[in-house]
Amino acid sequence: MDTTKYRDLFVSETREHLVSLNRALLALEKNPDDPALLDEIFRSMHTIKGMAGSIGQDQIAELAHKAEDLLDRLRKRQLKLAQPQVDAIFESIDYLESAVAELAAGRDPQKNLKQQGAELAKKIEALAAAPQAARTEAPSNVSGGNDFSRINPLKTADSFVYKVRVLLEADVALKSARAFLVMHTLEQFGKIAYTVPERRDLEAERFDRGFSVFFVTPMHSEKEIKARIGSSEIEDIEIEEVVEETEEEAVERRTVSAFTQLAQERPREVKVSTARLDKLMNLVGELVVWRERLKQLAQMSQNVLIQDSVDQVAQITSELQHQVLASRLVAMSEIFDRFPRVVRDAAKVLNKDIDFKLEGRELEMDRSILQMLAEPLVHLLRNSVDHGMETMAQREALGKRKIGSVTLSAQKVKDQALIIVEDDGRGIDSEKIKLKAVEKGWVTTEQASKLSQKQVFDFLARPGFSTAEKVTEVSGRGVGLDVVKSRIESMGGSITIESTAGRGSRFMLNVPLSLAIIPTLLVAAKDQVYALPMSQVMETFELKPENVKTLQGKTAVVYRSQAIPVQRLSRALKMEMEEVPMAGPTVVLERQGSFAAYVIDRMVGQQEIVVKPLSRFLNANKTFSGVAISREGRPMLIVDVNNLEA
Amino acid sequence: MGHRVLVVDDAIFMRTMISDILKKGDFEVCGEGATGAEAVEQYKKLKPDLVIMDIIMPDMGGIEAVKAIMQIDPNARVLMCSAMGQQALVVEAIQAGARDFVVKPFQPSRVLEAARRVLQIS
Repeated sequence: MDTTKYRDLFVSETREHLVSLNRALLALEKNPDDPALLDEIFRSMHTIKGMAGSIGQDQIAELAHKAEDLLDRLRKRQLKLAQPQVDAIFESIDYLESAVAELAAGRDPQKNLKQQGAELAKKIEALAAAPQAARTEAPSNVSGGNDFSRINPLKTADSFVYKVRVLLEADVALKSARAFLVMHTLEQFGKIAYTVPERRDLEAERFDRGFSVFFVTPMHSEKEIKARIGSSEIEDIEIEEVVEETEEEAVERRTVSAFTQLAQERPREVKVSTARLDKLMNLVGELVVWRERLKQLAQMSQNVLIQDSVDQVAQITSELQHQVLASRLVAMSEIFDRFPRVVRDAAKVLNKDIDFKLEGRELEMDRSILQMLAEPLVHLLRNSVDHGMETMAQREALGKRKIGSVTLSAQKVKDQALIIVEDDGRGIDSEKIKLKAVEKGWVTTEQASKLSQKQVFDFLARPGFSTAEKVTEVSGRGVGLDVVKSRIESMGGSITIESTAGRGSRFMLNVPLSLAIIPTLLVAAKDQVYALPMSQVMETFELKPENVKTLQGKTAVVYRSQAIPVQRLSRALKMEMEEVPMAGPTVVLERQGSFAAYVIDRMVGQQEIVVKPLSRFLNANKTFSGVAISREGRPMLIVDVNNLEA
Repeated sequence: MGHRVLVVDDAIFMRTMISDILKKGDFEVCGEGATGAEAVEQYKKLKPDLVIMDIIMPDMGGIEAVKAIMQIDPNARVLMCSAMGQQALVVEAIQAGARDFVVKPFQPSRVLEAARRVLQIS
């Protein structure tokens, strides 16, 4: 069997399972008596085992199998849940994570992780081989993934049960009505037990292209049923007879069909590569540009029919733009759910007890922004646990609750996400920071005494600042708040620090929720094309040399009866150093309430562009706010007018 | 020779278009109607093999017309035409006895496919 085809599917699906494994195991640690959690963990492990086996990853399968055995015994209460077992399962999750990472990188985990895997498997096996308790079997009425409790009441002596799986054509309109037609037809000669997705979801069009109907009928011919359905716009119909199976068969089937289930039984969500979403986003950006052009032309044509059609196209384009932006949204939980583990591990190493709360998991934001957030957040959380939180003994001595509290929350404020990392630890001692700043020679003692709290906290994010007294395993050397800050700023966000000594700290991140499409003026300067946000372009005109004046050694031009600075754009961008006579096309830009004029080589045009943040390395001098793709497919820089030299 | 089809739509444009599609697909358009009432009238007179009918029409809508036609002939084969967003009406038409539906704007291949399926010819 060609296993490479399935590798990516295996990697992404296993990763999803590992995230839920981590979450469930953490919850189990707190509620060891919750059988639903154990079941969830067991099932995930089981699924991973099945998938790994099917692509020949025997070592992963073997480890998952051992873990599954252990979990099964815990589940059946033959073993009592205790810390060593929880830790061992955490360890297997870690092992699986690194094995999957190896696979994803195109390497074979059976080579590099062999030793580790074998040792871990042995350890888990030993844990599972504890004394037997009374054996209890959980009763199950769900057989073969099919819910017979809903099928059996409809069955009679001479009826048969079929699973009818329908796949609609790709671009079917009125899907619900189409599904209704299929069910209506089936009901002419049988009864429907239930559908997957449920009927109400089918009615509300909450499905993609496929659905399954569990159908009880006296008819005993798959061919005949298929012929009867006969509605148009159906790509495929699969019909199979369903019989209740034994527990053993059920396990076997679940193992084998892990992949097919993935591909077929959950049609409501499909995986799309981010590269494809990005491409789609760029195309929509393009479409928006041409829509504007088309509108102009339609206006000029004075042809009502053309104008009507263009209006329609414009409307659909807007909707498409909206939908593409929406399809890029993912819930915070995508990264948030990793954090309880991060906090737990950090706390464990430091021997601190921390109550970690997550709020706002459901908030949605653009995938690429969310991905960029992960690293800074891990950093802030580790910092909170390591530096922010006192040791248990210290807390007790201070009369604080022994268990420290760390909260990560996300909420929507206007068009932005406000993400807060908050702890009730020792807080930030601003006197200590001032001292350090003076020591570093950043300010004098006198200056330091006049600084506001905000200004003092800004030092924290300066490169080279660190108050952490010793190197720790968890967060290294307290470096990196500067990295966090520049990362957040490169995303178009900001960070604010609040803290009360002795009471705790709060790091507040403001970041955009989605990528922006903005109208820009494209100009050429020194053979480069730059984008200027249209909202800041006041005027363009042709500058004549005789209009350039010199004021206090600076060149200026009169604009709206006021002298404003003028220079070549290429010079302001530090792309050109020599003096060039100032004349030619000129743009007046508004920068935080004041105006400045820039001479350019030529106007290139107007374009609505999709803004992509720049990496922090490229944006050290803050001259550019992002990058976009030109109509010709070349990258061009978006000038951050507010930071442009006047 | 082709099956006989009655085409009912209040817009001449749509009737012409559907008829053209059908003719190219070897069907015979035996009659046309502009309202639900005309559809019932014509059905009695022509006994077509298939009715292709719009859902929303003046003077007796498509759903009423399906019900009336099913009264006349319980085996009547009716294919509904619907615009986007008329999900509830389509469901109602199916409950009334329509065999299938096509959604505007029409793709000729889909109209023909639906017509053939309703008539059980391949």
